[in-house]
Amino acid sequence: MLFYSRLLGAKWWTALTVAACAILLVSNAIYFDGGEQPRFLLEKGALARTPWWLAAFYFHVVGASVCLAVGTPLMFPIWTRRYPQWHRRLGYVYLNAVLWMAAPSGLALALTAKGGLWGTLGFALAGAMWWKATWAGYQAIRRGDIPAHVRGMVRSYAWALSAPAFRAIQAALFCIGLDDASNYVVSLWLSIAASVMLAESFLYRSRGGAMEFLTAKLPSAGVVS
Amino acid sequence: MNRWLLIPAGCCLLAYVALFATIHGAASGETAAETRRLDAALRGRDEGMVYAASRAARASAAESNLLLTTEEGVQMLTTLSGEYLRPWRQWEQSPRHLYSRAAPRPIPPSSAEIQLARTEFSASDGMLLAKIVVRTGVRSQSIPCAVDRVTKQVRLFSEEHWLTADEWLKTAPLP
Repeated sequence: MLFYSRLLGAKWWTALTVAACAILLVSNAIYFDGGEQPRFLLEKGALARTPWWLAAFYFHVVGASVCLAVGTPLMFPIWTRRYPQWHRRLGYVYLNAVLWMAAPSGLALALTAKGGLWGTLGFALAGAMWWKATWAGYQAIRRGDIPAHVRGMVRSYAWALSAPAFRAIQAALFCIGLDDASNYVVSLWLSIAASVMLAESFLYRSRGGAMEFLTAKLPSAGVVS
Repeated sequence: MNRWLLIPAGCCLLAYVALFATIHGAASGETAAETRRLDAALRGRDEGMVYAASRAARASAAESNLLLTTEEGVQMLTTLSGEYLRPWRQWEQSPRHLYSRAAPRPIPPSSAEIQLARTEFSASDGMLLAKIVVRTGVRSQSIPCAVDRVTKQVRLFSEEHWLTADEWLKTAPLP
């Protein structure tokens, strides 16, 4: 995976990331199986019966699931080189899922986020930065600026990965006995920090030319002019 | 912005509106059903109850055989306490997994017990006095309550006020 290029244990980190995304996608099925109400919705109480909130919640779950499912292959340079047309198609699916579903609904849900002001600020920041990075990546490829496209999309996908990172951190903090309320806010901000670090560390490492994979065959074949 | 973004943006907007309308419709139906269910549970399903109440008010309460029996009163309070603990029961039964935003916290056991007053003021009082003891984990809470045998109304003493059943249910703590 692009993030881990030139990093020790890159294959393991890649496997871990793909597995985390897969587990999250399977876990999200809990909201659609028609069984007992999941605990996340029970925690929300009356809010979970509010139409605007519930519609935004389902929009967010579907949008974010699509992002993780289609965004993951886009982060593999080998796959991009081999299937530039598919990179373009899935890229549009990813783009639409972030710009019109996951990020705006995430921003709306941030207004009522658990964790008070810090929770709201964290989710709002993540939603706004996710949208901005994705839009910047799209604008860059429209003008043919591939390095800027890579920068934008790496940041965007790193924001998408903050969801599995959040859950992993939350479970780890629970195991060490942190109380629920603190755990939620700490996990949120740690997952934001992890996303920023993941993207920026790759971009820092690649400033000296780690984007050489792009020179093998430009993915511009898949770009709509 | 090209059509590959514009068309999906429009579709997403429509989808959100449709989803909102669907949930709104479902929520309205659910609220009405919930109200009916609670009313039925609290007031009894017998259609003749209203008639019975007015007749009993007119007649001597002690002589009327339409008064709420002690067993019925206890049943009414049991239903009410079950409703009070419903969020906890739902929480226990709800599916969860470690990889969820919902906190992986343990659930304390919860229960409710009805304790009847051993003596009544007099048979003509027409009041059933009892106490609901709600236990969640190590916490225990006693709620004195009075059931009007004639009108079948329940009053519960909570937060320094006598509350109706509906008002009391609104004070139910969430897990």
